[in-house]
Amino acid sequence: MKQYSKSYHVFLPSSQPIALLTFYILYPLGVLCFTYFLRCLTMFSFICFGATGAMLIIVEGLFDYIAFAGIQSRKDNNLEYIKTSAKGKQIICQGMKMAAWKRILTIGVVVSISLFISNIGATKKEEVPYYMIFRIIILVCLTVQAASCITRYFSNIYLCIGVNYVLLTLYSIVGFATWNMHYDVWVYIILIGVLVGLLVLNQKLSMKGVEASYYDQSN
Amino acid sequence: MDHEQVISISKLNKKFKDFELNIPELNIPKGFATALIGENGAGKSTLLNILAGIRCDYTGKITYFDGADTEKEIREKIGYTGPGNYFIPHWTSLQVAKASSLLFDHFHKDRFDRLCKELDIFKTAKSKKGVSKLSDGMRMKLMLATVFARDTDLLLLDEPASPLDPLMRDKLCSMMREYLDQGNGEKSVFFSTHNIADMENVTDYAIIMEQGMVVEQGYVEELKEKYILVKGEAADYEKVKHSMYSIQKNSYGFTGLCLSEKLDELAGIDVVTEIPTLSQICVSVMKQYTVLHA
Repeated sequence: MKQYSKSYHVFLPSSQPIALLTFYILYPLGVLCFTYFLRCLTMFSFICFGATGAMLIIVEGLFDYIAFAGIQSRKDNNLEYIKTSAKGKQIICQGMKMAAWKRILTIGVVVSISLFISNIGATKKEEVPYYMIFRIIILVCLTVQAASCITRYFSNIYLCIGVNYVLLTLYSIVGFATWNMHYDVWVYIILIGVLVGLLVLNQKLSMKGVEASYYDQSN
Repeated sequence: MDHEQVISISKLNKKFKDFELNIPELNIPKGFATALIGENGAGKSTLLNILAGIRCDYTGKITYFDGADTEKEIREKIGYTGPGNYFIPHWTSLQVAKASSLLFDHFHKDRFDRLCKELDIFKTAKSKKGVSKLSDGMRMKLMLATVFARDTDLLLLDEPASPLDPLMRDKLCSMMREYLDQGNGEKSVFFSTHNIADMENVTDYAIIMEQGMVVEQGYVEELKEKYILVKGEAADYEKVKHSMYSIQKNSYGFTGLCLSEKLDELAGIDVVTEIPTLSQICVSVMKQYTVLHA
């Protein structure tokens, strides 16, 4: 685990304690403060709760861009130094796996806590039910994962932001449209299956991009 | 001179759409500094990338050291610096050190810190400054600090002198010489350069490439015996030009290189002979093969 964590930190913009504190603690706290702020504005609970997910999609998308922008492309991955090491590919692979687990964990914790914040002072009718935690976690994870499958091909930040916004819009539409729907267990199983599939696909595409960068595009 | 090889290349071929690197055989001597010289697009960086293992789309055989090492051992023994997307742009000097410790078994953080101070990287760049914000020269210094901070047996340096100031080029030559001396004949340096004059005092062996092929190679002393610098008066230009390897008219007369074996053909003509510099040899050889016509 320590090795995975070290590998992940290779791709972070800074290893200064303040940067790591921001990355691991202050950013999730910031998102929760945003939820509380919305609640203080007397927004509906479900809006506060859904907006937390939207915020997570934007920030996690940005973090993925900072760490792994262009890694799936052959040319723009900036990995020459890492590639000269015998452990290079292993470190890239471990770093991406750690990023995926850290992302799921962060989304899980922040979404769970945000439900309680969203329900502060809410009437029984307005309250967001607890089972919605799982649904939002899966939807947010799916959106971020799908976005990173696409954005890791680009090193242009505007393209990455554009893709994230398109998927964020999709998340909002699906979230609103299915808010009052009851999801059967099999729906959750399918969604988890899709999420696992995207995680594997993202990892495979990224490693394929790294492998391809050892070969020239003209061949 | 016959020496052990640090790298032996056999039937190396790499095709691009409009360029082909083709080296039937090439041996890089062990324990020496070998310069790879050639004009832009001659294939120097492609060759170094292949040797460093960051490009794998080639055919042919490359044997490193004594041929008994595994790929992991080979990569541990090679230090490579190159232009372009070398470091992750947002890395700071501090992260370069941390990443290097993780990537390489024999990276010495204390040596890296010392080199950073010696090369004046921290004074101007500071450890918090991103690599992408460093000047080309500073970035090259940082790359050099990372490779010299490792225990390696072979350095592959792709145009290390180009972004450096003259003082730093001199320092680089000293560092390379020190590295070779420490190795007692076991360590080697293979570097490409356009700054032949600046790097001449550290070059033991030279390989000249043109259009993807090795067109001349040899120990610098041997090359200086093979080619003779000839100077003469303008009136003798027509008489000597067919015997010369390369010749150029100037306001005083002519200057050019002549192969030692052909020097007898100049007997009776009033010419002055001198030992050429490596730079003069390289330019003359490159002129014979270049597609550029003055």
